[in-house]
Amino acid sequence: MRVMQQISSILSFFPVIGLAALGGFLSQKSGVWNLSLEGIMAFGAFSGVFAYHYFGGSIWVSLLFGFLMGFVIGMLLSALTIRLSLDQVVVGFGLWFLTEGLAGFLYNTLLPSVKVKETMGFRIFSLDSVFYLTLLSFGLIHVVMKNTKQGLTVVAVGENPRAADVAGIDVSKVRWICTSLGSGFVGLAGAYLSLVILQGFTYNLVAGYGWTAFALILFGRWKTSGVFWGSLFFTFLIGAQTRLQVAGFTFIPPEFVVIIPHLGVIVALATAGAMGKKAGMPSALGVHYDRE
Amino acid sequence: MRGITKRFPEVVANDHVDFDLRRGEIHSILGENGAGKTTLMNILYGLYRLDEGEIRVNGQRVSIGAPKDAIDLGIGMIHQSFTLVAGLTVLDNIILGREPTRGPFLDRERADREIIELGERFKLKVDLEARPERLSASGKQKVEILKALYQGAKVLIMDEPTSVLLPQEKEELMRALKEIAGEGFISVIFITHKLPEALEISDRITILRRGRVVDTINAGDVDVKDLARMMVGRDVLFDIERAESEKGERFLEVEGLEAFDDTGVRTLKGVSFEVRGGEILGIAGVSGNGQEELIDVIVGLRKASAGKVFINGGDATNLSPQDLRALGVGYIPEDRMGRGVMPELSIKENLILGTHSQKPFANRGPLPFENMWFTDQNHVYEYAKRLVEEYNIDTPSIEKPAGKLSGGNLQKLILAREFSRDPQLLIADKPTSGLDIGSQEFIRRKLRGKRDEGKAILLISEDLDEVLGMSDRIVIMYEGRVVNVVQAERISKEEIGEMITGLR
Amino acid sequence: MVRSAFYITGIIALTVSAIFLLTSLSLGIDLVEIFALFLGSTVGSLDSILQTLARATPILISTLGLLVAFNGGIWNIGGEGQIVVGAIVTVGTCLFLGLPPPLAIVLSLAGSFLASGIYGAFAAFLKARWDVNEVVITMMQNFVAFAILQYLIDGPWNWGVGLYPRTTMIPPETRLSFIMSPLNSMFLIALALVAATYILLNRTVLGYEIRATGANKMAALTNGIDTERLTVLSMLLSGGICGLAGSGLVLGTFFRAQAGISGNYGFYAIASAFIAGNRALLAPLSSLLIALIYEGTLSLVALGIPHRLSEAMVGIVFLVVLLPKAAGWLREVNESDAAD
Repeated sequence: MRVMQQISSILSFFPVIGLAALGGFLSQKSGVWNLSLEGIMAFGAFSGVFAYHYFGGSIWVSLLFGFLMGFVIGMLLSALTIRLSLDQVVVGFGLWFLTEGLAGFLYNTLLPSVKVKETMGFRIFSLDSVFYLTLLSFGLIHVVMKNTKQGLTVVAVGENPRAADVAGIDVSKVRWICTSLGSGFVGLAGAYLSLVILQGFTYNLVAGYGWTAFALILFGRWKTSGVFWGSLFFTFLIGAQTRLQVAGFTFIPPEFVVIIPHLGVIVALATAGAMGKKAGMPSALGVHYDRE
Repeated sequence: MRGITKRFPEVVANDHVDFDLRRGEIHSILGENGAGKTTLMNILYGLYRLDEGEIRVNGQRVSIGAPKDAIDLGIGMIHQSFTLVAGLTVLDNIILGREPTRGPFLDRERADREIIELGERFKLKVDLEARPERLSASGKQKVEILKALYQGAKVLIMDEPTSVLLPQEKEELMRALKEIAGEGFISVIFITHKLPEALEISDRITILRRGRVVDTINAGDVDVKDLARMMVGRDVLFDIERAESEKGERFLEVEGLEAFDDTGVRTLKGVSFEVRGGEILGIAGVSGNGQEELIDVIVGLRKASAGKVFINGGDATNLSPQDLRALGVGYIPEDRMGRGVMPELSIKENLILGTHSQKPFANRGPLPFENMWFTDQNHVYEYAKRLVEEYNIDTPSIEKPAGKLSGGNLQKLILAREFSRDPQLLIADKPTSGLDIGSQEFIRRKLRGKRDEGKAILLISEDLDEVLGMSDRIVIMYEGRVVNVVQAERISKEEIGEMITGLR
Repeated sequence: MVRSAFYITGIIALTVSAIFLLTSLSLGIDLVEIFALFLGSTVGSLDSILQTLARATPILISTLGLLVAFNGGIWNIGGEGQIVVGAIVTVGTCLFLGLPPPLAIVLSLAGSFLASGIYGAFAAFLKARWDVNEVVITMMQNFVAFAILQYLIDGPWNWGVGLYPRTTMIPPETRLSFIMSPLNSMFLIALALVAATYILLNRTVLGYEIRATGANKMAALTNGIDTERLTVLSMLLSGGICGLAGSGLVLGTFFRAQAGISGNYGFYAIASAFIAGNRALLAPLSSLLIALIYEGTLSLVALGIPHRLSEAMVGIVFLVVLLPKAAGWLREVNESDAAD
């Protein structure tokens, strides 16, 4: 029984990593780097708490608001990169700065210390509904990517936008939708972090998890299942590591446990490169598409 | 299609072109490269917007702004470079854009059934589970045709479909196309520059030259000679003045050269020739017949898979571009923006590219080593000023980015840079394509001047007038091989036209 | 297209104004007061000017480092990590080698240049040889460097400083002198680096080749430049210069390594290099602008305005600089259209 509790408590962090990775994954699959994950998470976290304070204290409404604000930032990212064909790296960094800065700034000016008292009601194995929603989203996206018209379209746009274009697909629209929807997921991840995990907003609450999520997309070789298992593995890794540390065990210095995904990405990309493979990266990732 | 006009910044690609297609016919569009065939079809398929003119389908005026509109109208296009998605199976590639669904899901079983049916009807067999990157060119093409048919194409546009195929595959394609058109519902537009093919397959042929329609004729009413004449035209644009110059030493020699293109197809299949000092050797051929790979190998950007390159008698096979430059090879690339210049850097800086590390542009400054370290700005400035004047490069300042120059001036810049290195061999790849008449003349005059100085020049061009007018000898390339080497004064344009299109 | 660029600029400008208005309303502070405090704390007195310059120093050095890579067509996002590597090497050199003071300083600087340079060149090697995306690798390298630093200050290099995650102080003799506190002599090194970077990029053969490779790799290769070698070399220099920033932070500012020593300067430098249009001579101005925003917003903390405003403002400047480019780039794309 105690073991079960431990496991649920470790897993409760999964939505934060999983949703963020899933959101970035969606955008990258369609060919757009989203380098603002860290900032969008922070902004989602702020938005959630903001909605909690001003819109009547419902967790669900607040989470939804976090999602919406993520979606709006995704639209801005799309407008800048797809419509104006600006460099995705530059825009990604600009928006990262802007959103992370705004989140911290607006929180302190608009909401001096909000404490979230509400908790998620419904639970199975003491895990809340967002956890199951995350599992569901992974399953859904896995199926969508493999077995639906929409999934086929997204893969085609990310791999070969020219081919998609001549097949009558509106490349910009697909990228626009994927990037915005993906950012929505990232915003939701942030909102969940602030509302449920931390029950309030703190400075630097994202603490690199956005970049970890980014790493996990690459680590998962741009496959839904890869990203899922990677996120789950990482969730366990940090959960188990803190618990073992408390219990006095350390096998790898804890500082290095948190960068296992990052190191993994370096090793994976380097070896794939050396062996002349693409490592599953969408061929048109980061490449702007213009018809003429 | 009526009065179709499409202008690009420096050329009119289509000039009031009229074109009509009947149901169930195979209609070829014949023309040299750059005649505007592909542009016309890209307009019909919604990839380019037309500047003037109108398109009617079944008598209804339509506006085609994107490929989707064309597909909805029943127009399908198979591009010269295939548009298949590498990560997806053949089946998924075929249904892309018009996926059959059951509820929210893809109905792959139905798709499978339907495609196999289509394939049997038109004798097109493909492995639906394969990945397209594993297929041969002919396999990919079949997938593309099935894709278009599956999307409900009533008009099938084939852009130079045979250029990637082996002879027996070509036969197979021809049969399949006849099969498709034979049912009477689907029409085929067949773009080509190969005369025999056009004659063999077509019901009617439209000939394009320099963006204009020469004529539309029934294939039964003409023979290849007529077609060749119509395609290349009789107009000779400039006088042939070929002062005899002393033939010098054999400077470049290639022997049995073979190479693969970027997609791994062997496009250069054993080419041998030599270039002497004081001569211009023209290479005539329609692009895609191995010339690109040949040039890449000679300038060191591609490895030869077999054969040898000799420069001044020494083995220079697969040397780096640096080493080849040092041996005296100059290069005027076709892709000026992509290979010729650094668009964001100034004209001045572009002019010293390649000589930037030599005296007098570079000196060692206060450092003791012999390697050149610092750029001498004054020398560079003086030098650039002088070249800009000498080569008539029209620009307000030598500090302007090279990317701002017009095509003609850009080419003059490249010419100035290459000439000033005093190359022993100059490889000029389509040096006048896309330029205005004035710049064309200027560049030709300069090239002839170099020949008269005793340098060796390799001129690659698709403009037969240019090849004939400029060269001393002409190498004719077709499908990766040299089919003939002729003296320029002993051959007519029609004869060359027939050779480069595979007639002789 | 051009029109939508203006629309978006407008939207961002409106948003920014709204934020400021909202802030002043919700806090009940006069906008004028905010503005006065902002100016006063950055350029209002000698002390504040010195403080701003001190803040600008590491940003300037990292900006110079990054723009070498950017000129070579490589996205070095790893400035943060390279700063950290430089700091670690410096602390190590000063604490453990027991060298005479001037030699320790010189060796620290040289060592951090070399170590950070190699750290950066690793990503460039992967890019040059196998076309591995350098944005990803350099970003991931940041976290690896953070982890190494964290490990060192948590354990092996943390003697007797108790619970604080930081190293012991380096000996006073191995510290850089102050020009005028808080501005230390790293500032002069930074200025010298501006000149050096300018000369390197614009007056030397190597710099010319770096820029040629960045501007058009294919043209450079065709004309006899070894672009693989150049890619690695420019990242070696780029990482090396960023490493100097880290070294300077130890030698002149903190005298030890501690968590967050890189202060996001490596990230701010991306914005700074971008604002400077990748030109070395404009780097002091752009770095100063960032330092002004940093210091100015820091002073506003007294009014209850959090320092995160700094990042938001840099983000806005970033996008405002970016947008006019959208219009210009598009024009160039249209001009290079070709037939067939």
